[in-house]
Amino acid sequence: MSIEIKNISKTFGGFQALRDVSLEIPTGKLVAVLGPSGCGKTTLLRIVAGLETADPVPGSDIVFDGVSAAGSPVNRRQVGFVFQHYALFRQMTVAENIAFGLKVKPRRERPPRAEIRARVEELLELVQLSPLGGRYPDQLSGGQRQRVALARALAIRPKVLLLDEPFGALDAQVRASLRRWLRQLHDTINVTGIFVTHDQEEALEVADQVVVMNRGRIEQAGEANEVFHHPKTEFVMNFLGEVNIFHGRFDRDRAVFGGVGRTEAEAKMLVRPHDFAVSRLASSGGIPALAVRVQTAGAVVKLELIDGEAQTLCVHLSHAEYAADPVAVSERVYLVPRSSRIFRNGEDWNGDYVI
Amino acid sequence: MKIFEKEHSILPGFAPTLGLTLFYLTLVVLLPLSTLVVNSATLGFDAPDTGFREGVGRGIPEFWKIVSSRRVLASFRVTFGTALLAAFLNLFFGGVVAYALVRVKLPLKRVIDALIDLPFAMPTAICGIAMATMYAPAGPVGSLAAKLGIKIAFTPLGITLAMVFIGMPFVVRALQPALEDLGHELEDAAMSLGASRFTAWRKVVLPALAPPLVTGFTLAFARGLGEYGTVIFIAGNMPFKTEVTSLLIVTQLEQFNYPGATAIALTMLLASLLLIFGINWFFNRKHRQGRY
Amino acid sequence: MEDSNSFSPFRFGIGFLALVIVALFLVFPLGLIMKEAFGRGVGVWFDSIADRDTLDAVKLTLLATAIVVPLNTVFGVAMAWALSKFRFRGRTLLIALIDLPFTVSPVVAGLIFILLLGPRSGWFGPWLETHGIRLVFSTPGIVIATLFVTFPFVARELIPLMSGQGSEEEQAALTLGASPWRMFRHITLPNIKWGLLYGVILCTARSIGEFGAVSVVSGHIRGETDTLPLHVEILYNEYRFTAAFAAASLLSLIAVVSIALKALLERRLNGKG
Repeated sequence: MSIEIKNISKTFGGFQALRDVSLEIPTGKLVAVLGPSGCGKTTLLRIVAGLETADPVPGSDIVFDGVSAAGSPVNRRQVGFVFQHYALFRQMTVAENIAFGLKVKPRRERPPRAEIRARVEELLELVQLSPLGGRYPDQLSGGQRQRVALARALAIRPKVLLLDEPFGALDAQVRASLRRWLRQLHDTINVTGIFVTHDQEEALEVADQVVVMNRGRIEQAGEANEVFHHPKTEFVMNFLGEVNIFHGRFDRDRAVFGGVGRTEAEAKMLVRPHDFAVSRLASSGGIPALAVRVQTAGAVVKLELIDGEAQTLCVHLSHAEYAADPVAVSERVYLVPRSSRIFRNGEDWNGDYVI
Repeated sequence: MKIFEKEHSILPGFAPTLGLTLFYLTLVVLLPLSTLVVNSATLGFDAPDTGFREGVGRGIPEFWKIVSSRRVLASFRVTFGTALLAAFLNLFFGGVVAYALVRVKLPLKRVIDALIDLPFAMPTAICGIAMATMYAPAGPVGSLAAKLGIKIAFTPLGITLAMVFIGMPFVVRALQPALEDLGHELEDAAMSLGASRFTAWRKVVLPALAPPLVTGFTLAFARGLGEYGTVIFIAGNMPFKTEVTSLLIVTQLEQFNYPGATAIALTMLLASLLLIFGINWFFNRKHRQGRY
Repeated sequence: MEDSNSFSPFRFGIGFLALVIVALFLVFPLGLIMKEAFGRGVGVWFDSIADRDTLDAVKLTLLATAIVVPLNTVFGVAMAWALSKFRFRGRTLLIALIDLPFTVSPVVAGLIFILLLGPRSGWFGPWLETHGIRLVFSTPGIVIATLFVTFPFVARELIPLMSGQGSEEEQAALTLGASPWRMFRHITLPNIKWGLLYGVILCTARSIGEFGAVSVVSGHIRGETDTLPLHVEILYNEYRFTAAFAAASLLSLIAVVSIALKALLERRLNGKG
């Protein structure tokens, strides 16, 4: 089922959480809504679910498969919602939790008991918790609880699956494995899904499409690859991974970098750590920098350098590249950006530049 | 936000439950209590031919006259005095019991802990006759006291002891959670730094316990002020000597002196409300002025 | 460092003192009641209880309780729902107002109903009289006064409990398609059951035992407007001590049962839910 979000705004008291947000979610895709705290992503999710109501602006709507959900109360929308802190029913067993959505259906629609039981078994197997059906939530680990929450949401065969920072409350190891597991699950089930997160790694790894939000607005939406390698705004590039920032001026049609302080800069060049080549020659036209730290213990070699503006720069080299010409602490080198993006007033800018 | 307007929440049932709340609260609590205020203002002078305003005009001076009469003032003295003393005594007794329950390995601790609620759970009249029997000159404690030359029944002392009984749960229950939270560490830390146990208490533990102590004291005090059943059997109820205000109100009612009863009742209600808020406010201020 | 397991003269002293205080102030009065009640043998006790007037008093007490407790429970839950799951201006005020009956002396609690409904001077009294309805000095007055006095018990037990539990489970239930009533029945009620029971027990105990307010409102018409606590007073004032203590022992028994239940529930409340 496709979801269309049209012109949604939401104000809480004096604070505007969402500003005229519009978005289309194609059927069967898993979309990540990514952004820092306070950007409005959870609010947007809750509005889609019906847990919040958007500001009554004419033209604003949530449309499921061409049908407006505006008048529909939360308990009729058939969305599966997974809460950040699971919200499992503490007085019920795992099996009872999962069965809940089926048991509270109106009499006409309610499946017979045997069918409910079968579905619960099926879902327990899907989330790999089959032996734990009789346990209570407080007897489960965080990761297990999250899987129960997911199974419970899936039990009602929702048209849309909404996940609110599903792995936020778990520790790193569990998070990583659950991430992979969610991706595999989605490949099996193919339900349209939106999940909200502030972890860019998670978004890039799990989702088909990534929507980056900041301060109530969408900065960019697109496939993970697209958003990462072709960020349209400075915010997006900065949020999705490490960057080094260089400040510069505009001189007619050219951007000139080097020798410009942060506050006077109109132009910013952002370079990812792995997009530098390291040269010993000034003639390479690279940025001069002094190496202050070299970390070889890891998947890549990480160099920490200081440039002319007393900024700390971060460069990643593969071990092979590094071995070809090892850089030592307190050596002067020149950093040549192999790929970079320039932003003027936060927006992407194409043109010549000089360092 | 306007008043009674809820913040965003999609949980159902706000309007109906709020409506029920306001309805029930008004009907059962606010309306009856307001009779006290309104009637005190007019004090029976609002006969059909007098207007409300005129009634108030004549009512207020009458109110003052009643409330400042000798007998009423005497009852205030007795009541406030005994309740205050009882509350202070309870700080000590209740404090000891609370400390023992939390820190000492007592036999049958669970039973004793449950028993603390006894004065709270028992009907006040039953407490009253038990007190009267216990402290009567012929009774078990009363006869012992008589040998020492102390008379308990039919004196303010008897009233005080009855109020101690009734107020103890408040102090103990207020202190228990605070003591549990506090843990050993504070006492032990102070002592490891060289303080004697007494000093450790005085400077460290007691200040930390000040809020629950104040709460318990205030509750016990307020309860003592309004107490009726527990006190009337042991007090002897002699006007000017051992007549508590609650009994005075009942006496006025039995004589159909409604204005008198109303005036005294309102005074007592206002006084206890003021005291409760006053004590709390004073101690909250002191605490907020920051110590650590 | 000392811990509560090691022996210390100070702790021993305090413990001993505490036991003395408890014995003197709490156990002794209770024991005294039982001694006076059963002092002349169980037969006499039984006769006192089975006395016509005493039985009538018991019936009246139970009737009042049977009306008051369900009312305060249902309304208490409704009040707790409004005041704990939502944030709004005036909430704190309402919570404070709910506590008012606690701060009012029982005698005053009785007085206000005489002022409101009394035949002679009440606001509604004269009107009620002309319609032949007498509320004070009769059973309805007792019920109403008891209603006032036990008003806060259920609500003030539930409000912190329900606030602390938050509303996420209820929201989850709604997203899964539950109707509001089902959400309440299957999610909210099970979550509050121990707190609710606790509040109901407190309400019941107080309702059975209320003396001051009922005394003022009842007019003491024996056989008609005497609850059991009032009856005890009457018997005592007539110097029928054994009978008075017999009735008192019944009430004490109820009190002991209620604090036992309370203690049991407290462990449930603090452990689970």
